[in-house]
Amino acid sequence: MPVKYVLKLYVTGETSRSLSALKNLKKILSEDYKGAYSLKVVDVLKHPKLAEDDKILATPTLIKILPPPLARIIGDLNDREKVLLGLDLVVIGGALNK
Amino acid sequence: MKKQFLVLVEDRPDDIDLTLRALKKNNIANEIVVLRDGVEALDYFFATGKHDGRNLDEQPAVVLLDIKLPKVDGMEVLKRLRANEQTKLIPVVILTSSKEERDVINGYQLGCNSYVRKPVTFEQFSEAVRTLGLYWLLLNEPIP
Amino acid sequence: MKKQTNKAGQDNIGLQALKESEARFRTIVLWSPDAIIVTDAEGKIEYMNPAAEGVFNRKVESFIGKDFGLPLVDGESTEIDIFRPGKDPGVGDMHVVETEWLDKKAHLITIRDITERKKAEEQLKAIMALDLQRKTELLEISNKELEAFSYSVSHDLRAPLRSIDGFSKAIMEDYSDKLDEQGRNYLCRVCTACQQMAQLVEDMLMLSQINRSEMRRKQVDLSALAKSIADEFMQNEPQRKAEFVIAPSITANGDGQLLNIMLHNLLENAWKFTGKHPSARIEFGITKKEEKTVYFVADDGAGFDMKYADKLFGAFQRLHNVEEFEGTGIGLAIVKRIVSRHGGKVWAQGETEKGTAFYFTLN
Repeated sequence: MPVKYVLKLYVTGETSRSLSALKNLKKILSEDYKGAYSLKVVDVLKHPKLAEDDKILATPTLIKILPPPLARIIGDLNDREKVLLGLDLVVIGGALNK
Repeated sequence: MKKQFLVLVEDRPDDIDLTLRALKKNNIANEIVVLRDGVEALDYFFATGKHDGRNLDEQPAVVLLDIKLPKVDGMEVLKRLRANEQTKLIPVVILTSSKEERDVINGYQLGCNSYVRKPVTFEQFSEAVRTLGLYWLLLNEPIP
Repeated sequence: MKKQTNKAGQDNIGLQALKESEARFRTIVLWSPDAIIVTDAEGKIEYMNPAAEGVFNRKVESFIGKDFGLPLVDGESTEIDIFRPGKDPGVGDMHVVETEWLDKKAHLITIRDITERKKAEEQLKAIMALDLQRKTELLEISNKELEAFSYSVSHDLRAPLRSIDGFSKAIMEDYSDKLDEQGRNYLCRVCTACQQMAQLVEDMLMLSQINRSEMRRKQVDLSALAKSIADEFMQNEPQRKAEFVIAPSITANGDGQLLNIMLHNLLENAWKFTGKHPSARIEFGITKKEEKTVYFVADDGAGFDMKYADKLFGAFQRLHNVEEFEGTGIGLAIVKRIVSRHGGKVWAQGETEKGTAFYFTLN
């Protein structure tokens, strides 16, 4: 059964860092991960309560909710390898075809 | 045979004199009527205003028409001439000062006309009237 | 007994040194204005210094044991947006070092609050952009006005020129018998000067038109254009011994009419300046320079002194006087304008009496 990734990306409005993170993430998801995923983008300016609940300190913060284990990355999503590692996207029997 | 005459519609005195000289030197036509702006031209051709009561049976053999005229410009005069039954067949030679102008005029597609780049010299004039088929204008008849 | 005292004494000295060392480092960390965070290998917060409270506008206690996240930086450090509930978001410069904390892999994260610096940078950028925009607008308006003025003046000069030329010729034709040799000579010079002026006016209008006309880009066969221009020259002066070497199938993307004018001027230049030589060789071809296509027109004619190279393309600039070679000097200015409108560059190389080569790109 294909693994479905559930991701949440916290950004701050449309700062250059937020836009860059979104762009990088979308690129990784479309190029490296061919399986199913659901990505929710949360703007801390619009939903501060959600950010507080998730104990967000800074953005961009990317949280992998499913599959377990829970993973969190904070900072620059430019380095594809590091992001994949951090998200455990190098999965056996998963969707990654390198 | 009715006396053939020309009409020259031109506002600049220098251009008028040089043109008259060029034509006169080569015995072109007996009479050249000079009209100095667009309004006077329309008055003449339609016997209104200044030329009220003119005999409209007497129309020129050819009209030399400058495009840039005060009051009413040459294009407007040409349009009116072409729109009227009595005048639409009068041959018109358009006087332009540039190729650019000529291209603009071409765009108006106002019927078959001939063009002469100013200054009007005899050579230019002959070329233009030949294009219009008015060869007889070039026969050097002695002025009586 | 002595040994024991020494050991205890040594232990005391050691302990004291350790306490002092600890105090020093504690001071540095406690008083650092930058936030210092230590996380374990997975990103869980082990320690946060007091400055972090100010940077994040939250109490440190609420974060110990919580997930900071795996910190990723690009190179040395990364900019992040600091989330601080109750305040506007800030901008931080995050620096990460992998180290050890109590013998386990850890991340040492330093975050400097650069919110004010960023704000100042943005303001400066905005001011500069506005300034640049204003200057560009003013320049455009100025250029348009100059263009309109140049056009209307050139245009209005035609009529009086017509008069001078027309009446001079009329005097020549009708009254030359009333003039002596000198008089006729003077009159002749009036005519000639008039012709020159008329040519200048036409040139200026042409230059003006090049600027004002709309460009219509398409694939243009430059070889074919060059060939037909060459044929035209040969037909006009069949007595000249000249060889045109035109490379086949050279095409370019651009406005056909403008490119025709440009090639015509370049080839006419070559034709003119090889006029005094018994034979001429004029070449049109392409070459490559740093991956870009470069076109060239070369001749083996009069050439020019390279030290005047930058005067070549100025409007009405000439390097020869009118007795040597006729012309008003507008040809190359037109070439430059056309090349510029296509986004390219033009330059020349030459040597007196050894020939000239004009190179141009079209993008």
